Amino acid sequence: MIQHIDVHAVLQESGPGVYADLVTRPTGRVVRERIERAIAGEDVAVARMDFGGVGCIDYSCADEIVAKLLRHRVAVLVLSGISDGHRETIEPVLAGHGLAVLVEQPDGTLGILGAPEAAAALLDELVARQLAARIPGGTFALTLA
Amino acid sequence: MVKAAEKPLLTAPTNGDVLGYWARAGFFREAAALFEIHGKVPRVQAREESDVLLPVTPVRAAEDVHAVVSTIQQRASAILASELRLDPKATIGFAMALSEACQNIVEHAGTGGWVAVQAYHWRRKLARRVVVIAVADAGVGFRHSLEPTQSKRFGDRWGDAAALEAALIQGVSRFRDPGRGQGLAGIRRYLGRWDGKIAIRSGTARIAIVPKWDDDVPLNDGLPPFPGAQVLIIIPEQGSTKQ
Repeated sequence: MIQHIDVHAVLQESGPGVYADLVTRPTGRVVRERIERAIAGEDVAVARMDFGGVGCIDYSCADEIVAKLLRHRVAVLVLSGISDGHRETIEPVLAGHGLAVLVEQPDGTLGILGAPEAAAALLDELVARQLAARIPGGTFALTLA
Repeated sequence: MVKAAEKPLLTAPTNGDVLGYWARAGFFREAAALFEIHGKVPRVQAREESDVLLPVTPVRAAEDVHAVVSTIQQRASAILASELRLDPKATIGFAMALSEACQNIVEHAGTGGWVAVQAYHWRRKLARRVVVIAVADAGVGFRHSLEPTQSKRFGDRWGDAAALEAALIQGVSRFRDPGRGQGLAGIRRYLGRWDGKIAIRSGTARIAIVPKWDDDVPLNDGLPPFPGAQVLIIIPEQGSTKQ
């Protein structure tokens, strides 16, 4: 199954203040731990993390949330609702770790952020597990709804 | 809380421009808790059109960093875009750089610190506007923070200058977590893209990443000891400039 995670909502539940920005390592740690708990309770093949409504994300949070979730391999991660600003922060953090993550575009096709070698391996793995398939035009999309 | 009798004396400057600038930047409001201030301090009303994008603001915990980032995005995004002609992507990166600079205090200083953000028009030096982020703390400093993990690697070279070089140029951190050390590296990447500058003063040394428009010294050692750290980040107005 696909688990939908509203990152902005998780952020709102994670601290005493009401903030829209994913900043500071302690905040990132709390958000990641909540996401890990949400994923662990279900038979989750894909976790779709929606960043809609999230303002700025800093390098500490990109590392603490996205990079660590990928390293812990809790599920296949798919980022959605990410802005150019989010992308510019997440990409170098993942590339520095030799990691890659799927990004779902508004039209449903999949893109990839991070290290190119890891990106190719990730797509191969998803196709082999029948979680993603090539669609007309040469791009990929998730097979699960 | 420091008792009034134990507070060191601070004499306010007599130059009206300096006095007014310090007051507008909120310096005296924070200094009053630490110093016995002598001299006349002007009362300044906050003005919407002020070049003070963020007055001197204490940073002690992660919540303070959230508040600073939130404030600067509400207060400064329009100014950054319209007056400094920064691309909207650069204004988002600005908040990121501010967050990472403030987190150095929370994560490494072992005490609280302060941050301020101000826009200036550098007519003589640069003939364009700049935004300056200034972060300072009186904590343990870079050398002390990195000593347990880095001093052996540097051997006899180890000192304040080597610690600054390790943190800013090599991106090392006192934490063994491989994801650490991203903050300053991210700031450097951001500044490289937008032709900005960073300088860090800690202990007896000061290091700077110097853009073409500036003539600062990349590394200075043997300076008077400074406890803690000062981080200075400068982002210039985008567009044609004299260099």
